[in-house]
Amino acid sequence: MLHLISGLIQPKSGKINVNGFVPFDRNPNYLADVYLVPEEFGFPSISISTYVKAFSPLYPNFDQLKLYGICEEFELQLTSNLNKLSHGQRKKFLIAFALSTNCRMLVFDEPTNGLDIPSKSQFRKILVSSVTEEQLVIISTHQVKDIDTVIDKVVVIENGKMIYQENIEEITQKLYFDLVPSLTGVENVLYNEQCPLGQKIIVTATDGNESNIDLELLFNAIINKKI
Amino acid sequence: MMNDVLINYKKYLLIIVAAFIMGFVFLYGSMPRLVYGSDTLYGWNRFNSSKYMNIFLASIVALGALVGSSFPDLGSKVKTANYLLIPASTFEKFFSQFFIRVICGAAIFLVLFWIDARLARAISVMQMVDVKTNLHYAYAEQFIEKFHYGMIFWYDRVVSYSTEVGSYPIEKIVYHKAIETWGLSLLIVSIGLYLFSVKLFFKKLGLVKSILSAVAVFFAMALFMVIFSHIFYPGTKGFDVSLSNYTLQNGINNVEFWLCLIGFVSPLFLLPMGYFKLKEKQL
Repeated sequence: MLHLISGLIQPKSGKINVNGFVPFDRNPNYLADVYLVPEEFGFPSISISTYVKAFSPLYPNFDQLKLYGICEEFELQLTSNLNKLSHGQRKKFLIAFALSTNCRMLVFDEPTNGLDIPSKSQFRKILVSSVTEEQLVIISTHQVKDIDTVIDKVVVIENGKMIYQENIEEITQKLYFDLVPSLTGVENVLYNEQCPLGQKIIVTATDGNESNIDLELLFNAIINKKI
Repeated sequence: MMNDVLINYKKYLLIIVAAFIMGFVFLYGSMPRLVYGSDTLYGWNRFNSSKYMNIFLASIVALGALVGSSFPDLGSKVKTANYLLIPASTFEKFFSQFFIRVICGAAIFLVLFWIDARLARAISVMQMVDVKTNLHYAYAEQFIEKFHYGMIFWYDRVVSYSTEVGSYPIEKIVYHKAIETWGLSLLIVSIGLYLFSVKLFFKKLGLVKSILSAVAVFFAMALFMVIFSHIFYPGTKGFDVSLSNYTLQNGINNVEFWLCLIGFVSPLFLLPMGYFKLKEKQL
């Protein structure tokens, strides 16, 4: 799906239209407004500053100050050679560059893969502070816990089909996530999973009670067709 | 285009410097620096246009290699994705490679070869020694011809005069047809253009597949020539090829001319094909 949106592959049937563009046409105006952060990536053997000098002019809304700020937060030196950085550092730079392009659509494929625990937290913080209301960020991940605090819509795709789509707000209004020692006395359990501390449960939300969403539990409930 | 130069400028500079040094070494190494008084006019290895032409043709292979290494980003899936998503039109991407590798590559090659040839000549002329007297050879400048492109591309050279100064050879008879330079240069450029498009057509083993394709095309052409010979020259036997061989107005052979045309024009066909292949390229 991410490759279809970014224009890397052509749909086998049907048509895709994003912001009035057909992605596979790879119109430069479209490509300048969509940035894909792939799971696997490569860089030429040049410094960060040279990379920025070479590629930033291709993105009309590129914000250099923003990039410098994010690089500083990620502790990246502008003079470092990209190919001499660790995988995690290179990923951080790619994320920093993507956010600095200010593209209207940012597509992240497994953005937290390769990041250490402090970097994952930094990523969430930077993502939230960098993205504006005009931007759409699509995150595809298997590490749902890494991004559960930054998303506002959950979409679950199974075998190429969208099987669940809901806003976070709607989910918290409908479902209540809890951890109980046992299921005894608990009513309206939609889904439960055993864990070392007892049972993780999803029940129907009542009386306006809201809880933090356990995305992994929600995902398993959806896959098992309990929701 | 600018980002390609920014990213690869070190590589390009290295190629230019290496090409300059290699060209100089080849030319300087081939130029004579010793003259033996006993040498006869015809036996001496005077450095003339045909010598320049041989080195020029050998050097142009390097240009073919540069052109053949176009679209380096299409070598792997990861690099291909990055390349396709660069916010530039397919034409810009295609033209930037063509401009840098073919146009700039050829221009720089011609300039470097000219500088190398002049520099190598200047040094060789200064160093040329007459073995008989152990002194600098006074007619060294005539011994090594001054290089200019006209001598290998435009002149149908039949230099037939000779002058003797003492017992030293000054000129040597040279029969050289410019069509050979053009034909061979175009052949190498054609191979380069063919290689230019290879990465767009084949994902893996591009070189092997392109050689196999070229061999298949060559045999198909030979087969068509046999078939046409049988159609247009009914007396043709077996696998013989009948071709009317005649000399054109400017002394060029019609078959040579025809081969040049076929050899150069057919790979040009690959350019628009390559453009559309790039446009429709998927990951």
